[in-house]
Amino acid sequence: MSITTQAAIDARRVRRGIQRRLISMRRWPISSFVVIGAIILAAVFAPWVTSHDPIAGNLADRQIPPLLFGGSSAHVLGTDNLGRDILSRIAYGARISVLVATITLGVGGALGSLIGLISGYAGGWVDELIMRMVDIKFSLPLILIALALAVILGPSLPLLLGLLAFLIWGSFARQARAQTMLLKEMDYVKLAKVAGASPVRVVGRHILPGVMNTILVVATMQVGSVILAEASLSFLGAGVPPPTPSWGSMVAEGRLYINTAWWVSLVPGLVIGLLVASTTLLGDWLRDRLDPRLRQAVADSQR
Amino acid sequence: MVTMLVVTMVVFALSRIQGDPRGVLLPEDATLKQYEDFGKELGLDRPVFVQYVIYISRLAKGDLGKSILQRKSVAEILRLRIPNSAQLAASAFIFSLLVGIPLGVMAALKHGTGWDYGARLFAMVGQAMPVFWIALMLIFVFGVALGWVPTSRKVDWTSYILPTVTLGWFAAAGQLRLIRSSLLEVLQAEYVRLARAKGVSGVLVVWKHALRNALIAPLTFAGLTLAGLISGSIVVETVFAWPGLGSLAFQAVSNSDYPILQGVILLITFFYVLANLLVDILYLFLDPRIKV
Repeated sequence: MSITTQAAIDARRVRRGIQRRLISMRRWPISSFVVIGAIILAAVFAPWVTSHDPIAGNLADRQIPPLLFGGSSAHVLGTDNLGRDILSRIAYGARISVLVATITLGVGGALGSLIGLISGYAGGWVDELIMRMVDIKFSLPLILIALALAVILGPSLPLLLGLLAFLIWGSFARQARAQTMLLKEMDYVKLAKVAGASPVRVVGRHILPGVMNTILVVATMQVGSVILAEASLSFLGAGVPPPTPSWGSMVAEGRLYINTAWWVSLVPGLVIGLLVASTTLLGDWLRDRLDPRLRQAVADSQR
Repeated sequence: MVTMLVVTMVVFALSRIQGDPRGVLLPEDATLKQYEDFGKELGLDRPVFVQYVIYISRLAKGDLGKSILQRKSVAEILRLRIPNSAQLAASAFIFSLLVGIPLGVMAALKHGTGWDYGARLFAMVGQAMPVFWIALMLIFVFGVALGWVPTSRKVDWTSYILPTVTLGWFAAAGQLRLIRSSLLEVLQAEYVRLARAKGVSGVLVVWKHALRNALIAPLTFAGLTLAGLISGSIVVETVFAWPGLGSLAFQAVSNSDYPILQGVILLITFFYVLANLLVDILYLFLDPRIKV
Protein backbone atom coordinates (compact mmCIF):
# COMPACT_ATOMS: atom_id res chain seq x y z
CA MET A 1 0.00 0.00 0.00
CA SER A 2 1.46 3.34 -1.01
CA ILE A 3 1.85 6.23 1.37
CA THR A 4 -0.59 8.52 -0.42
CA THR A 5 -3.50 6.14 -0.10
CA GLN A 6 -2.69 5.56 3.53
CA ALA A 7 -2.73 9.31 4.09
CA ALA A 8 -6.02 9.61 2.28
CA ILE A 9 -7.53 6.89 4.42
CA ASP A 10 -6.26 8.58 7.57
CA ALA A 11 -7.68 11.90 6.47
CA ARG A 12 -11.02 10.30 5.79
CA ARG A 13 -10.99 8.60 9.17
CA VAL A 14 -10.35 11.91 10.93
CA ARG A 15 -13.13 13.60 8.97
CA ARG A 16 -15.55 10.80 9.83
CA GLY A 17 -14.64 11.10 13.49
CA ILE A 18 -15.41 14.82 13.48
CA GLN A 19 -18.70 14.26 11.69
CA ARG A 20 -19.71 11.62 14.15
CA ARG A 21 -18.95 13.85 17.10
CA LEU A 22 -20.94 16.69 15.51
CA ILE A 23 -23.93 14.45 15.06
CA SER A 24 -23.82 13.09 18.58
CA MET A 25 -23.72 16.67 19.80
CA ARG A 26 -27.28 17.08 18.62
CA ARG A 27 -29.31 16.84 21.75
CA TRP A 28 -31.26 13.75 22.55
CA PRO A 29 -34.92 14.35 21.73
CA ILE A 30 -35.93 14.01 25.37
CA SER A 31 -39.36 15.57 24.89
CA SER A 32 -40.10 12.96 22.20
CA PHE A 33 -39.16 10.14 24.53
CA VAL A 34 -41.32 11.62 27.29
CA VAL A 35 -44.40 12.01 25.08
CA ILE A 36 -44.08 8.62 23.43
CA GLY A 37 -43.33 6.95 26.76
CA ALA A 38 -46.29 8.63 28.43
CA ILE A 39 -48.64 7.53 25.64
CA ILE A 40 -47.41 3.94 25.75
CA LEU A 41 -47.76 3.90 29.54
CA ALA A 42 -51.27 5.34 29.25
CA ALA A 43 -52.15 2.61 26.77
CA VAL A 44 -50.82 -0.17 28.95
CA PHE A 45 -52.24 1.13 32.21
CA ALA A 46 -55.44 2.63 30.78
CA PRO A 47 -57.73 1.19 33.51
CA TRP A 48 -55.61 2.87 36.19
CA VAL A 49 -55.45 6.28 34.54
CA THR A 50 -58.97 7.16 35.64
CA SER A 51 -61.74 5.21 37.27
CA HIS A 52 -64.23 6.25 34.60
CA ASP A 53 -65.59 3.83 32.03
CA PRO A 54 -64.46 4.88 28.51
CA ILE A 55 -67.61 3.56 26.82
CA ALA A 56 -70.52 3.89 29.25
CA GLY A 57 -71.09 7.56 30.07
CA ASN A 58 -73.25 9.31 32.59
CA LEU A 59 -75.73 11.51 30.75
CA ALA A 60 -76.04 13.77 33.78
CA ASP A 61 -72.37 14.73 33.27
CA ARG A 62 -72.66 15.82 29.63
CA GLN A 63 -70.27 18.37 28.15
CA ILE A 64 -68.39 19.25 31.30
CA PRO A 65 -65.48 21.52 30.32
CA PRO A 66 -61.87 20.68 31.28
CA LEU A 67 -60.60 21.50 34.76
CA LEU A 68 -58.96 24.81 33.82
CA PHE A 69 -62.08 26.03 32.00
CA GLY A 70 -64.59 25.70 34.78
CA GLY A 71 -64.79 21.94 35.03
CA SER A 72 -64.31 19.69 38.03
CA SER A 73 -61.37 17.59 39.14
CA ALA A 74 -63.49 14.48 38.60
CA HIS A 75 -63.09 14.96 34.85
CA VAL A 76 -59.75 16.68 34.30
CA LEU A 77 -60.15 16.92 30.52
CA GLY A 78 -63.92 17.27 30.60
CA THR A 79 -66.61 15.01 29.19
CA ASP A 80 -68.16 14.54 25.77
CA ASN A 81 -71.76 14.73 24.63
CA LEU A 82 -72.62 11.36 26.16
CA GLY A 83 -71.01 12.23 29.48
CA ARG A 84 -67.97 10.03 28.89
CA ASP A 85 -64.72 11.05 30.52
CA ILE A 86 -62.34 12.35 27.83
CA LEU A 87 -59.14 11.52 29.70
CA SER A 88 -60.28 7.94 30.07
CA ARG A 89 -61.18 7.71 26.37
CA ILE A 90 -57.81 9.20 25.42
CA ALA A 91 -56.06 6.53 27.47
CA TYR A 92 -58.07 3.70 25.93
CA GLY A 93 -57.73 5.32 22.50
CA ALA A 94 -53.96 5.18 22.98
CA ARG A 95 -54.32 1.40 22.99
CA ILE A 96 -55.78 1.48 19.51
CA SER A 97 -53.14 3.87 18.23
CA VAL A 98 -50.24 1.93 19.72
CA LEU A 99 -51.70 -1.37 18.54
CA VAL A 100 -52.33 -0.08 15.04
CA ALA A 101 -48.88 1.49 14.76
CA THR A 102 -47.08 -1.60 16.06
CA ILE A 103 -48.89 -4.16 13.94
CA THR A 104 -48.95 -2.15 10.71
CA LEU A 105 -45.30 -1.20 10.97
CA GLY A 106 -44.40 -4.77 11.88
CA VAL A 107 -46.29 -6.37 9.01
CA GLY A 108 -45.97 -3.64 6.39
CA GLY A 109 -42.38 -2.93 7.34
CA ALA A 110 -41.30 -6.56 7.27
CA LEU A 111 -43.00 -7.29 3.96
CA GLY A 112 -41.85 -4.05 2.36
CA SER A 113 -38.26 -4.55 3.50
CA LEU A 114 -38.24 -8.14 2.28
CA ILE A 115 -39.51 -7.02 -1.11
CA GLY A 116 -36.89 -4.29 -1.19
CA LEU A 117 -34.11 -6.73 -0.31
CA ILE A 118 -35.18 -9.12 -3.06
CA SER A 119 -35.53 -6.29 -5.55
CA GLY A 120 -32.16 -4.78 -4.76
CA TYR A 121 -30.27 -8.06 -4.63
CA ALA A 122 -31.85 -9.72 -7.66
CA GLY A 123 -31.65 -6.72 -9.97
CA GLY A 124 -32.64 -7.13 -13.62
CA TRP A 125 -36.26 -7.62 -14.57
CA VAL A 126 -37.29 -8.64 -11.05
CA ASP A 127 -36.09 -5.29 -9.79
CA GLU A 128 -37.74 -3.50 -12.68
CA LEU A 129 -41.07 -5.20 -12.05
CA ILE A 130 -41.05 -4.62 -8.30
CA MET A 131 -40.08 -0.99 -8.58
CA ARG A 132 -42.81 -0.43 -11.13
CA MET A 133 -45.27 -1.90 -8.64
CA VAL A 134 -44.00 0.48 -5.98
CA ASP A 135 -44.43 3.42 -8.34
CA ILE A 136 -48.00 2.40 -9.03
CA LYS A 137 -48.67 1.98 -5.32
CA PHE A 138 -47.54 5.56 -4.78
CA SER A 139 -49.86 6.93 -7.42
CA LEU A 140 -53.03 5.24 -6.16
CA PRO A 141 -55.42 7.46 -4.20
CA LEU A 142 -55.19 5.02 -1.31
CA ILE A 143 -57.30 6.88 1.22
CA LEU A 144 -60.18 6.88 -1.25
CA ILE A 145 -59.81 3.19 -1.98
CA ALA A 146 -59.49 2.44 1.73
CA LEU A 147 -62.62 4.44 2.41
CA ALA A 148 -64.50 2.58 -0.30
CA LEU A 149 -63.33 -0.82 0.97
CA ALA A 150 -64.16 0.00 4.57
CA VAL A 151 -67.66 1.05 3.67
CA ILE A 152 -68.25 -1.92 1.37
CA LEU A 153 -66.92 -4.57 3.74
CA GLY A 154 -67.91 -2.77 6.91
CA PRO A 155 -65.29 -1.10 9.09
CA SER A 156 -63.25 -3.48 11.22
CA LEU A 157 -59.89 -3.58 12.95
CA PRO A 158 -58.29 -6.29 10.74
CA LEU A 159 -59.29 -4.44 7.57
CA LEU A 160 -57.86 -1.21 8.96
CA LEU A 161 -54.59 -2.93 9.80
CA GLY A 162 -54.35 -4.47 6.34
CA LEU A 163 -55.05 -1.17 4.60
CA LEU A 164 -52.51 0.74 6.65
CA ALA A 165 -49.87 -1.95 6.12
CA PHE A 166 -50.49 -1.63 2.40
CA LEU A 167 -50.18 2.14 2.71
CA ILE A 168 -46.62 2.00 4.02
CA TRP A 169 -44.86 -1.00 2.47
CA GLY A 170 -43.68 1.03 -0.52
CA SER A 171 -41.39 3.35 1.45
CA PHE A 172 -39.73 0.36 3.11
CA ALA A 173 -39.26 -1.39 -0.21
CA ARG A 174 -37.67 1.68 -1.81
CA GLN A 175 -35.23 2.38 0.99
CA ALA A 176 -34.30 -1.26 1.64
CA ARG A 177 -33.64 -1.69 -2.09
CA ALA A 178 -31.40 1.37 -2.29
CA GLN A 179 -29.35 0.25 0.70
CA THR A 180 -29.12 -3.32 -0.58
CA MET A 181 -27.78 -2.12 -3.91
CA LEU A 182 -25.05 -0.21 -2.10
CA LEU A 183 -24.07 -3.12 0.11
CA LYS A 184 -24.20 -5.65 -2.70
CA GLU A 185 -21.12 -4.05 -4.25
CA MET A 186 -19.13 -4.20 -1.03
CA ASP A 187 -16.09 -6.46 -0.98
CA TYR A 188 -17.21 -8.49 2.01
CA VAL A 189 -20.46 -9.37 0.28
CA LYS A 190 -18.65 -10.33 -2.91
CA LEU A 191 -16.24 -12.46 -0.90
CA ALA A 192 -19.10 -14.22 0.80
CA LYS A 193 -20.52 -15.04 -2.62
CA VAL A 194 -17.18 -16.31 -3.86
CA ALA A 195 -16.91 -18.45 -0.73
CA GLY A 196 -20.06 -20.18 -1.90
CA ALA A 197 -22.73 -18.72 0.35
CA SER A 198 -26.27 -19.18 -0.97
CA PRO A 199 -28.25 -16.04 -1.92
CA VAL A 200 -30.47 -16.49 1.13
CA ARG A 201 -27.41 -16.64 3.35
CA VAL A 202 -25.74 -13.66 1.68
CA VAL A 203 -28.84 -11.52 2.05
CA GLY A 204 -29.75 -12.76 5.52
CA ARG A 205 -26.33 -12.80 7.13
CA HIS A 206 -24.39 -10.15 5.26
CA ILE A 207 -26.80 -7.60 3.80
CA LEU A 208 -29.76 -7.53 6.19
CA PRO A 209 -27.70 -6.37 9.20
CA GLY A 210 -26.53 -3.43 7.12
CA VAL A 211 -30.07 -2.60 6.06
CA MET A 212 -31.52 -2.79 9.57
CA ASN A 213 -30.59 0.80 10.44
CA THR A 214 -32.33 2.07 7.34
CA ILE A 215 -35.43 0.03 8.14
CA LEU A 216 -35.48 1.31 11.70
CA VAL A 217 -35.25 4.93 10.53
CA VAL A 218 -37.98 4.49 7.93
CA ALA A 219 -40.19 2.78 10.52
CA THR A 220 -39.83 5.66 12.96
CA MET A 221 -40.59 8.19 10.27
CA GLN A 222 -43.64 6.25 9.14
CA VAL A 223 -45.25 6.09 12.59
CA GLY A 224 -46.61 9.59 12.01
CA SER A 225 -48.17 8.72 8.66
CA VAL A 226 -49.78 5.60 10.10
CA ILE A 227 -51.25 7.49 13.06
CA LEU A 228 -52.53 10.27 10.82
CA ALA A 229 -54.00 7.85 8.28
CA GLU A 230 -55.72 5.88 11.02
CA ALA A 231 -57.11 9.10 12.45
CA SER A 232 -58.34 10.28 9.04
CA LEU A 233 -60.07 6.98 8.32
CA SER A 234 -61.61 6.93 11.79
CA PHE A 235 -62.72 10.52 11.30
CA LEU A 236 -64.47 9.57 8.06
CA GLY A 237 -66.10 6.64 9.80
CA ALA A 238 -63.99 3.95 8.16
CA GLY A 239 -61.65 3.14 11.02
CA VAL A 240 -62.17 1.20 14.20
CA PRO A 241 -65.94 0.79 14.64
CA PRO A 242 -67.57 2.61 17.58
CA PRO A 243 -67.97 2.63 20.52
CA THR A 244 -64.28 1.65 20.84
CA PRO A 245 -62.52 4.93 21.56
CA SER A 246 -60.09 6.01 18.84
CA TRP A 247 -58.61 9.50 18.72
CA GLY A 248 -59.73 10.15 15.18
CA SER A 249 -63.34 9.22 15.83
CA MET A 250 -63.28 11.26 19.06
CA VAL A 251 -62.47 14.35 17.00
CA ALA A 252 -65.27 13.40 14.62
CA GLU A 253 -67.77 13.00 17.47
CA GLY A 254 -66.90 16.46 18.74
CA ARG A 255 -67.52 17.97 15.33
CA LEU A 256 -71.26 18.29 15.86
CA TYR A 257 -70.83 20.07 19.19
CA ILE A 258 -68.02 22.41 18.16
CA ASN A 259 -70.20 25.43 19.04
CA THR A 260 -70.81 24.41 22.62
CA ALA A 261 -68.12 21.87 23.56
CA TRP A 262 -64.93 22.66 21.64
CA TRP A 263 -62.76 20.57 23.99
CA VAL A 264 -64.30 17.30 22.80
CA SER A 265 -62.48 17.71 19.46
CA LEU A 266 -59.56 19.79 20.67
CA VAL A 267 -58.08 17.36 23.17
CA PRO A 268 -57.78 14.17 21.08
CA GLY A 269 -56.47 16.21 18.12
CA LEU A 270 -53.77 17.71 20.30
CA VAL A 271 -52.75 14.26 21.48
CA ILE A 272 -52.52 13.00 17.89
CA GLY A 273 -50.41 16.01 16.95
CA LEU A 274 -48.11 15.59 19.96
CA LEU A 275 -47.53 11.94 19.18
CA VAL A 276 -46.90 12.56 15.47
CA ALA A 277 -44.57 15.49 16.17
CA SER A 278 -42.65 13.43 18.72
CA THR A 279 -42.16 10.45 16.44
CA THR A 280 -41.12 12.76 13.60
CA LEU A 281 -38.50 14.45 15.76
CA LEU A 282 -37.31 11.08 16.99
CA GLY A 283 -37.11 9.90 13.38
CA ASP A 284 -35.08 12.95 12.33
CA TRP A 285 -32.68 12.36 15.17
CA LEU A 286 -32.35 8.63 14.47
CA ARG A 287 -31.77 9.32 10.79
CA ASP A 288 -29.00 11.81 11.45
CA ARG A 289 -27.41 9.34 13.81
CA LEU A 290 -27.80 6.14 11.87
CA ASP A 291 -28.28 6.93 8.23
CA PRO A 292 -27.79 10.51 6.99
CA ARG A 293 -28.10 9.36 3.39
CA LEU A 294 -31.84 8.99 3.93
CA ARG A 295 -32.34 12.72 4.36
CA GLN A 296 -33.22 13.32 0.73
CA ALA A 297 -34.76 9.94 0.03
CA VAL A 298 -37.36 10.11 2.75
CA ALA A 299 -38.42 13.57 1.68
CA ASP A 300 -38.94 12.19 -1.80
CA SER A 301 -41.08 9.29 -0.70
CA GLN A 302 -43.32 11.35 1.55
CA ARG A 303 -46.41 13.02 0.37
CA MET B 1 -50.24 4.21 -18.74
CA VAL B 2 -49.67 1.02 -16.76
CA THR B 3 -50.71 2.87 -13.64
CA MET B 4 -53.99 3.87 -15.21
CA LEU B 5 -54.64 0.29 -16.30
CA VAL B 6 -53.98 -1.03 -12.80
CA VAL B 7 -56.28 1.60 -11.38
CA THR B 8 -59.09 0.58 -13.68
CA MET B 9 -58.67 -2.99 -12.46
CA VAL B 10 -58.64 -1.99 -8.80
CA VAL B 11 -61.64 0.21 -9.32
CA PHE B 12 -63.49 -2.50 -11.18
CA ALA B 13 -62.67 -5.12 -8.56
CA LEU B 14 -63.84 -2.76 -5.83
CA SER B 15 -67.18 -2.36 -7.47
CA ARG B 16 -67.62 -6.13 -7.79
CA ILE B 17 -66.80 -7.14 -4.22
CA GLN B 18 -69.51 -4.78 -3.18
CA GLY B 19 -72.07 -7.29 -4.27
CA ASP B 20 -75.27 -6.85 -6.20
CA PRO B 21 -76.35 -3.23 -6.43
CA ARG B 22 -79.86 -4.33 -7.32
CA GLY B 23 -80.59 -5.26 -3.73
CA VAL B 24 -80.03 -1.67 -2.65
CA LEU B 25 -81.72 0.07 -5.53
CA LEU B 26 -84.87 -1.84 -6.29
CA PRO B 27 -87.87 -1.71 -3.99
CA GLU B 28 -88.33 -4.73 -1.78
CA ASP B 29 -91.39 -5.95 -3.65
CA ALA B 30 -89.71 -5.91 -7.09
CA THR B 31 -90.59 -8.88 -9.27
CA LEU B 32 -88.00 -11.29 -10.60
CA LYS B 33 -88.62 -9.90 -14.10
CA GLN B 34 -87.82 -6.36 -12.96
CA TYR B 35 -84.78 -7.73 -11.23
CA GLU B 36 -83.42 -9.32 -14.38
CA ASP B 37 -84.24 -6.40 -16.65
CA PHE B 38 -82.46 -4.07 -14.34
CA GLY B 39 -79.49 -6.43 -14.22
CA LYS B 40 -79.33 -6.38 -18.02
CA GLU B 41 -79.46 -2.60 -18.03
CA LEU B 42 -76.44 -2.52 -15.74
CA GLY B 43 -74.69 -5.31 -17.68
CA LEU B 44 -74.67 -7.66 -14.72
CA ASP B 45 -75.84 -10.71 -16.66
CA ARG B 46 -72.51 -11.33 -18.36
CA PRO B 47 -69.26 -12.85 -17.03
CA VAL B 48 -67.03 -10.64 -14.94
CA PHE B 49 -64.21 -10.56 -17.47
CA VAL B 50 -66.56 -9.49 -20.25
CA GLN B 51 -67.94 -6.81 -17.96
CA TYR B 52 -64.41 -5.55 -17.45
CA VAL B 53 -63.66 -5.47 -21.18
CA ILE B 54 -66.90 -3.60 -21.83
CA TYR B 55 -66.04 -1.24 -19.03
CA ILE B 56 -62.59 -0.52 -20.46
CA SER B 57 -63.80 0.00 -24.00
CA ARG B 58 -66.46 2.41 -22.78
CA LEU B 59 -63.86 4.19 -20.72
CA ALA B 60 -61.68 4.66 -23.78
CA LYS B 61 -64.54 6.55 -25.36
CA GLY B 62 -64.86 8.77 -22.31
CA ASP B 63 -68.01 7.04 -21.10
CA LEU B 64 -67.84 6.63 -17.34
CA GLY B 65 -71.24 5.05 -16.98
CA LYS B 66 -74.31 6.30 -15.21
CA SER B 67 -74.78 7.18 -11.59
CA ILE B 68 -76.97 4.56 -9.97
CA LEU B 69 -78.73 6.93 -7.67
CA GLN B 70 -78.99 10.10 -9.74
CA ARG B 71 -79.54 8.37 -13.09
CA LYS B 72 -77.30 10.93 -14.76
CA SER B 73 -74.06 10.28 -16.60
CA VAL B 74 -71.06 10.19 -14.30
CA ALA B 75 -69.02 12.31 -16.67
CA GLU B 76 -71.58 15.05 -16.38
CA ILE B 77 -71.72 14.91 -12.60
CA LEU B 78 -67.94 14.98 -12.43
CA ARG B 79 -67.76 17.91 -14.82
CA LEU B 80 -69.94 19.95 -12.49
CA ARG B 81 -67.70 19.16 -9.52
CA ILE B 82 -64.25 19.49 -11.09
CA PRO B 83 -64.13 23.33 -11.16
CA ASN B 84 -64.91 23.55 -7.45
CA SER B 85 -62.20 21.08 -6.52
CA ALA B 86 -59.74 22.58 -8.96
CA GLN B 87 -60.32 26.07 -7.58
CA LEU B 88 -59.81 24.87 -4.04
CA ALA B 89 -56.71 22.86 -4.93
CA ALA B 90 -55.28 25.76 -6.92
CA SER B 91 -55.82 28.30 -4.18
CA ALA B 92 -54.37 25.92 -1.59
CA PHE B 93 -51.40 25.31 -3.87
CA ILE B 94 -50.79 29.03 -4.32
CA PHE B 95 -51.17 29.50 -0.60
CA SER B 96 -48.58 26.81 0.06
CA LEU B 97 -46.10 28.48 -2.30
CA LEU B 98 -46.77 32.02 -1.08
CA VAL B 99 -46.37 30.97 2.53
CA GLY B 100 -43.95 28.05 2.27
CA ILE B 101 -41.25 29.54 0.06
CA PRO B 102 -40.77 32.93 1.77
CA LEU B 103 -40.90 31.39 5.22
CA GLY B 104 -38.47 28.67 4.15
CA VAL B 105 -36.02 31.21 2.69
CA MET B 106 -36.33 33.35 5.80
CA ALA B 107 -35.75 30.35 8.08
CA ALA B 108 -32.62 29.40 6.14
CA LEU B 109 -31.19 32.93 6.05
CA LYS B 110 -31.89 33.56 9.73
CA HIS B 111 -30.76 30.06 10.64
CA GLY B 112 -30.80 29.43 14.38
CA THR B 113 -32.71 32.55 15.34
CA GLY B 114 -36.22 33.01 16.66
CA TRP B 115 -37.52 33.45 13.10
CA ASP B 116 -36.14 30.06 12.21
CA TYR B 117 -37.75 28.40 15.22
CA GLY B 118 -41.05 30.15 14.55
CA ALA B 119 -41.10 28.95 10.95
CA ARG B 120 -40.22 25.44 11.99
CA LEU B 121 -42.97 25.43 14.59
CA PHE B 122 -45.44 26.49 11.90
CA ALA B 123 -44.20 23.61 9.76
CA MET B 124 -44.37 21.15 12.62
CA VAL B 125 -47.97 22.04 13.40
CA GLY B 126 -48.91 21.75 9.74
CA GLN B 127 -47.39 18.33 9.38
CA ALA B 128 -48.24 16.77 12.71
CA MET B 129 -51.79 17.94 13.24
CA PRO B 130 -54.53 16.00 11.46
CA VAL B 131 -56.05 18.03 8.63
CA PHE B 132 -59.58 17.56 9.91
CA TRP B 133 -58.58 18.80 13.34
CA ILE B 134 -57.05 21.97 11.91
CA ALA B 135 -60.25 22.42 9.92
CA LEU B 136 -62.43 22.11 13.01
CA MET B 137 -60.28 24.42 15.09
CA LEU B 138 -60.23 27.07 12.35
CA ILE B 139 -64.00 26.76 12.12
CA PHE B 140 -64.31 27.17 15.86
CA VAL B 141 -61.96 30.14 16.19
CA PHE B 142 -62.70 32.15 13.05
CA GLY B 143 -66.19 30.96 12.25
CA VAL B 144 -67.87 30.39 15.57
CA ALA B 145 -65.98 32.40 18.19
CA LEU B 146 -64.97 35.40 16.07
CA GLY B 147 -67.62 35.03 13.37
CA TRP B 148 -65.35 36.46 10.66
CA VAL B 149 -65.81 33.94 7.89
CA PRO B 150 -68.43 31.47 6.74
CA THR B 151 -67.69 27.91 7.83
CA SER B 152 -69.35 25.77 5.22
CA ARG B 153 -70.45 25.59 1.62
CA LYS B 154 -69.39 27.86 -1.17
CA VAL B 155 -71.10 31.21 -0.88
CA ASP B 156 -68.73 33.98 -1.94
CA TRP B 157 -64.97 34.49 -1.98
CA THR B 158 -64.71 34.44 1.80
CA SER B 159 -65.81 30.81 1.74
CA TYR B 160 -62.46 30.01 0.21
CA ILE B 161 -60.40 31.24 3.14
CA LEU B 162 -60.76 28.45 5.68
CA PRO B 163 -60.64 25.47 3.28
CA THR B 164 -57.65 27.01 1.52
CA VAL B 165 -55.69 27.54 4.70
CA THR B 166 -56.58 24.08 5.98
CA LEU B 167 -55.60 22.32 2.81
CA GLY B 168 -52.62 24.54 2.09
CA TRP B 169 -51.04 24.43 5.52
CA PHE B 170 -49.85 20.85 5.22
CA ALA B 171 -48.34 21.50 1.80
CA ALA B 172 -46.81 24.79 2.95
CA ALA B 173 -45.20 22.98 5.87
CA GLY B 174 -43.50 20.45 3.64
CA GLN B 175 -42.47 23.15 1.19
CA LEU B 176 -40.99 25.26 3.98
CA ARG B 177 -38.91 22.45 5.42
CA LEU B 178 -37.62 21.40 2.05
CA ILE B 179 -36.70 24.92 0.92
CA ARG B 180 -35.04 25.60 4.22
CA SER B 181 -32.86 22.52 4.19
CA SER B 182 -31.92 22.69 0.53
CA LEU B 183 -31.14 26.42 0.72
CA LEU B 184 -28.97 25.83 3.78
CA GLU B 185 -27.10 23.21 1.81
CA VAL B 186 -26.68 25.36 -1.28
CA LEU B 187 -25.49 28.34 0.76
CA GLN B 188 -22.53 26.22 1.82
CA ALA B 189 -21.62 25.38 -1.77
CA GLU B 190 -18.42 26.74 -3.20
CA TYR B 191 -19.92 28.73 -6.04
CA VAL B 192 -22.11 30.63 -3.60
CA ARG B 193 -19.12 31.35 -1.36
CA LEU B 194 -17.20 32.46 -4.43
CA ALA B 195 -19.98 34.82 -5.47
CA ARG B 196 -19.94 36.31 -2.01
CA ALA B 197 -16.18 36.62 -2.05
CA LYS B 198 -16.38 38.45 -5.36
CA GLY B 199 -18.52 41.02 -3.59
CA VAL B 200 -21.92 40.19 -5.03
CA SER B 201 -24.56 41.68 -2.77
CA GLY B 202 -26.36 39.41 -0.29
CA VAL B 203 -29.78 39.66 -1.90
CA LEU B 204 -28.42 38.88 -5.33
CA VAL B 205 -26.49 35.88 -4.09
CA VAL B 206 -29.59 34.43 -2.55
CA TRP B 207 -31.90 35.09 -5.46
CA LYS B 208 -29.65 34.42 -8.39
CA HIS B 209 -27.13 31.88 -7.22
CA ALA B 210 -28.59 30.00 -4.32
CA LEU B 211 -32.34 29.90 -4.69
CA ARG B 212 -32.33 28.71 -8.26
CA ASN B 213 -30.42 25.60 -7.33
CA ALA B 214 -32.25 25.17 -4.08
CA LEU B 215 -35.57 25.06 -5.95
CA ILE B 216 -35.00 21.74 -7.66
CA ALA B 217 -35.97 19.48 -4.76
CA PRO B 218 -38.99 21.56 -3.74
CA LEU B 219 -40.19 21.46 -7.32
CA THR B 220 -40.65 17.71 -7.20
CA PHE B 221 -42.42 18.19 -3.95
CA ALA B 222 -44.70 20.81 -5.50
CA GLY B 223 -45.78 18.33 -8.13
CA LEU B 224 -46.51 15.74 -5.51
CA THR B 225 -48.41 18.20 -3.34
CA LEU B 226 -50.55 19.30 -6.25
CA ALA B 227 -51.72 15.72 -6.62
CA GLY B 228 -51.83 15.22 -2.87
CA LEU B 229 -54.02 18.29 -2.54
CA ILE B 230 -56.59 16.74 -4.83
CA SER B 231 -56.81 13.54 -2.84
CA GLY B 232 -56.30 15.29 0.51
CA SER B 233 -59.35 17.36 -0.26
CA ILE B 234 -61.67 14.47 0.64
CA VAL B 235 -61.49 15.25 4.34
CA VAL B 236 -61.41 19.01 3.91
CA GLU B 237 -64.32 19.07 1.47
CA THR B 238 -66.35 16.83 3.74
CA VAL B 239 -65.76 19.04 6.78
CA PHE B 240 -66.54 22.27 4.95
CA ALA B 241 -69.38 20.81 2.84
CA TRP B 242 -67.48 21.98 -0.24
CA PRO B 243 -69.19 20.85 -3.45
CA GLY B 244 -66.14 19.21 -5.03
CA LEU B 245 -64.86 15.78 -5.98
CA GLY B 246 -63.82 14.83 -2.45
CA SER B 247 -67.21 15.31 -0.87
CA LEU B 248 -68.75 13.69 -3.95
CA ALA B 249 -66.63 10.60 -3.36
CA PHE B 250 -67.58 10.54 0.30
CA GLN B 251 -71.28 10.74 -0.56
CA ALA B 252 -70.87 8.10 -3.26
CA VAL B 253 -69.28 5.77 -0.75
CA SER B 254 -72.08 6.20 1.76
CA ASN B 255 -74.72 5.79 -0.96
CA SER B 256 -72.90 2.80 -2.56
CA ASP B 257 -73.05 4.65 -5.86
CA TYR B 258 -70.04 2.89 -7.31
CA PRO B 259 -69.99 4.34 -10.86
CA ILE B 260 -69.40 7.76 -9.32
CA LEU B 261 -66.74 6.43 -6.99
CA GLN B 262 -65.01 4.73 -9.92
CA GLY B 263 -65.06 7.99 -11.83
CA VAL B 264 -63.57 9.98 -8.96
CA ILE B 265 -60.80 7.48 -8.29
CA LEU B 266 -59.88 7.31 -11.97
CA LEU B 267 -59.91 11.06 -12.32
CA ILE B 268 -57.73 11.63 -9.25
CA THR B 269 -55.21 9.04 -10.37
CA PHE B 270 -55.15 10.64 -13.80
CA PHE B 271 -54.35 14.03 -12.28
CA TYR B 272 -51.68 12.39 -10.22
CA VAL B 273 -49.95 10.79 -13.18
CA LEU B 274 -50.26 14.05 -15.10
CA ALA B 275 -48.73 16.08 -12.27
CA ASN B 276 -45.76 13.74 -12.10
CA LEU B 277 -45.24 14.04 -15.83
CA LEU B 278 -45.30 17.83 -15.60
CA VAL B 279 -42.71 17.77 -12.85
CA ASP B 280 -40.42 15.60 -14.95
CA ILE B 281 -40.69 18.05 -17.83
CA LEU B 282 -40.10 21.07 -15.59
CA TYR B 283 -37.06 19.33 -14.19
CA LEU B 284 -35.44 19.33 -17.61
CA PHE B 285 -35.68 23.11 -17.77
CA LEU B 286 -34.34 23.75 -14.29
CA ASP B 287 -31.49 21.28 -14.32
CA PRO B 288 -29.87 20.84 -17.72
CA ARG B 289 -27.71 18.04 -16.34
CA ILE B 290 -30.65 15.67 -16.41
CA LYS B 291 -30.92 13.92 -19.75
CA VAL B 292 -33.89 11.89 -20.87
